[in-house]
Amino acid sequence: MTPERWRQITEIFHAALVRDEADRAAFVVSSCGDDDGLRREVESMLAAQ
Amino acid sequence: MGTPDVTTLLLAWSRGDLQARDRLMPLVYAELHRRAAACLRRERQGHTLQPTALVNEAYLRLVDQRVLWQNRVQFLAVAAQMMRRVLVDHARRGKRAKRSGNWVRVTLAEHVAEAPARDVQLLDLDAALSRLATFDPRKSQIAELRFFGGLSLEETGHVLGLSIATVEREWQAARAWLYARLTGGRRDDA
Repeated sequence: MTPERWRQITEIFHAALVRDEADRAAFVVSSCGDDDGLRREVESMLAAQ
Repeated sequence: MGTPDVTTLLLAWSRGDLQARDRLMPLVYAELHRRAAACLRRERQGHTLQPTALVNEAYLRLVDQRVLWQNRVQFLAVAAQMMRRVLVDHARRGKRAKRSGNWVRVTLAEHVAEAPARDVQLLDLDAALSRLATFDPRKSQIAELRFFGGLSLEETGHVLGLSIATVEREWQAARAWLYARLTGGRRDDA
C-alpha cells in the first residue's frame, strides 16, 4: 500500500460516512470510477464499521 | 522487595528522566506477563484475554492512585506497548511448542455502547497492526493504544499530541481497515 493510495481510500471512506447510509454505495461507486481495487477496499472498510 | 517503585519512576520520567522510563518498562512487562499467564492457565480452552482489563489491573496494583491524570495516561501508554509484546511473545512460544489450543484470542473492548466487543486472533491483529504501520504509523499507534491500553480518545490525543477530533477520525479509519482484514477475510492485495 502506498501512502497516496491509502490517502485516496481514507478520503472516500470518510466522505462516504457522512452521507446517509442509503446513498453510500452509489457514492462509493461514482467516487472510485473504474478502479475496482479502490472500490473494494473502501467497501470492505465501510462494511467492517 | 528492593525493586524500584513504579510510581517513583513514572514521576521521574514525567520530569524528563528517560532512564526512568527504561527502568519502568521491564517492571510493567513482568507484571503484565504474570497476569496474562495466570489468566491463560485458568482458561485452558479457547483462550480469550481482555488486554485492557489486564492493563487496568496492573495500573491499580503498581501505581499510587494519587498520581496526576497525565501520569496515569503515561503509564497506560507504556503498558499498551508492553501488553502487545507480552501477548505476542506468549502466542509465539505456544506455536513453537506446537501445543494445541495455544492460539491466543483477545477481546477488543471499545467502550462504545453500540459496538459489541469482538474476538480476534492475537497474532493476526499484531500482523495487521504492523502492516498498517508501514504506510500509516500514526493510525497503527492509535489502534495499539486503544486496543491494548484501553486509552480513551482524549487520552490517546494527549499521548500523541493530537486533537480529539483528529484521533477520532484516524481511529475510525484504522479500526475499519483492521476489522476488514481480521474478520472479513480480506488479504493484502494492494
